[in-house]
Amino acid sequence: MNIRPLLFLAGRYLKSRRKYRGVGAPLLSLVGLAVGVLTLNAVLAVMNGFQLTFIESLMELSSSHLRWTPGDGKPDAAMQSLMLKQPGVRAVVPTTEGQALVSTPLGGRQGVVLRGFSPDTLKQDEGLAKHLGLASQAVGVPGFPAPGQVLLGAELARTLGVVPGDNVHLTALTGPSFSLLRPQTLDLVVKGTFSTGYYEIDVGWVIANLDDSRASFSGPNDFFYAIKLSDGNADRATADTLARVTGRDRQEFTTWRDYNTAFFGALRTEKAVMMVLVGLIFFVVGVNIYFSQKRAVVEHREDLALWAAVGVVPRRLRAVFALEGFAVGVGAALLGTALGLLASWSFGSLNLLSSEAFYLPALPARVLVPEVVLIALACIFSSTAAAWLASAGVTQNPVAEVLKSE
Amino acid sequence: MSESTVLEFHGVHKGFGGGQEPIVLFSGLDWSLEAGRSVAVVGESGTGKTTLLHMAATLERPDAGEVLVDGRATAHLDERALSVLRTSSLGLVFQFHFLLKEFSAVENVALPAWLAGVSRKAAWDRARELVSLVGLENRLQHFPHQLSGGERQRIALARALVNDPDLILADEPTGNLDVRHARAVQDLLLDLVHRQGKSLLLVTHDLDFARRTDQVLRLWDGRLAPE
Repeated sequence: MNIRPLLFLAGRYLKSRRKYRGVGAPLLSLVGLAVGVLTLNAVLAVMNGFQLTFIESLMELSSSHLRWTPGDGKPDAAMQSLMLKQPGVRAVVPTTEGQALVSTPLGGRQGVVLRGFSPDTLKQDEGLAKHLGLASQAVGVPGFPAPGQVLLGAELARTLGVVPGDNVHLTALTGPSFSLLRPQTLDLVVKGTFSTGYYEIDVGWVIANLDDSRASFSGPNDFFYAIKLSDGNADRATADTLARVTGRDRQEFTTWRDYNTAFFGALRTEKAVMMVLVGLIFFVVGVNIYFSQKRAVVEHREDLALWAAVGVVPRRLRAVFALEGFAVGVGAALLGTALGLLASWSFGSLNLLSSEAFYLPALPARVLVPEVVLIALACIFSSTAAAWLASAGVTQNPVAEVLKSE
Repeated sequence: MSESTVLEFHGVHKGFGGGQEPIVLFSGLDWSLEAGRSVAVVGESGTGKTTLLHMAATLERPDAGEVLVDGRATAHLDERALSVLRTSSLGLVFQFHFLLKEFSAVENVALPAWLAGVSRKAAWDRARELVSLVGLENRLQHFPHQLSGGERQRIALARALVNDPDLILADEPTGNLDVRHARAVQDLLLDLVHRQGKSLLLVTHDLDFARRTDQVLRLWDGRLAPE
């Protein structure tokens, strides 16, 4: 089908409409759709920014992509080396994770998550070191604590009123089983503080030396190897590979999906609901386009009758009216996408929120190309579909009746 | 079918419902139009002249019976096939010109050909030729509101001819024109029959115009009878 005559007709009708009736309805539709596209792009960019930045930080700081827990709770250098050699494995770091009470000689105390790392973790896992944000280091060489030293989250240090060089007490209940738990206390020197940008971590984490932590605060199940991957989505495949290569039970390897399922499920749901809510703009504007085009069909019923009389198949003329919807959709998608990308970019470069009040150095925004394309296509589809549905009247025009009425 | 007929009505019934009793316009109409002839149908208002023309143009279907255009039965043709038939065989001229106000004179004439699949250049060349034929070569780029009533009707006539139809169906083509312009349109239509061998079915109240055709028929009580 040659579409050029239809484009010619559509263009001329649009031009004539602009001349005689103004561009009110199509312009309003275009602006409405563009606002929808702009809002969706900007909102999703910020949501993605928060979500992906948070996920990345969570992976690097807290959960890692994979964990391997030795059954006996003892380090296994050979196993560590073997795992590190596997493709896609970026770092394998021995660590402990438990709970403790931190207190100061002046009486400040707070429950904390106690992580144990060896001093050479800085070299083994650059991602962890980067996201941890080692803020101030007053004691010894910069890095993770040596025996007898401890790193505090910056907010925790502020809450407790300690600075690098001060002493703190760490107390924890440890033991091989619940009935054999006994309190352990160590006096440690604050080597420095760290600031991750996540308040919950900065106010609730203490990093101790791995040997101190294992000797004084950890049970056998608290020790594990944190495994970082080049591709976080290859977790399950890599776990299968590691189990096969090392001859270990697959159950010994857990992935970030296992221990964050509920959290990431909630994030996905939040995003989907947001898309539906903002996507309602498309529906509302689609209704506007529908009625606008329906009116256009009625206004052109004489023209349509004439076209039918001179032998033009009415179905072909539907395209003339649908093309206006398509043009509005394309225009709105281009305009809205451009403005949405500009807004997303400016979120990252402008300090829109107070970093002190919101604990954010900047509003994170991350644009995902597939989402941008999807939003643009949804915009074009909604306006084209609305116009196409409205143009159904073209094929139902009573030709003889219209011609006789003149 | 005779090889020389372009339009045939066989046992055509047509009526309209509504009101207390239905109106029957035709009940078993049999009539045919030979190629290269001009026939005028006259009659009082409401006798079904325009309906007859619309059935010939395949814009209305008979309730029963068959209408053949260029030898093709039309009763069972779908909308697409009817559109093709209208494009290839029929040229329609109405009392009201039905020119599209958004398009210039030449565009009004060329578009039906372009939409029918003729190339843009060929459609525009043919349109210019026809606009010249109706004597309006200096009005090619004018829009309908810039033309007089007679000029609009001549452009409408040019549009009816753009796909080179064998049969021209004209419904009161001079009804809205003054004597001078009416005469010019009449001359054009009859010239097409005499010089180019087209067939013409004319519906009119203008007896003077009707008498210039080859045959005048009066429509009365659903029948066509020589005047």
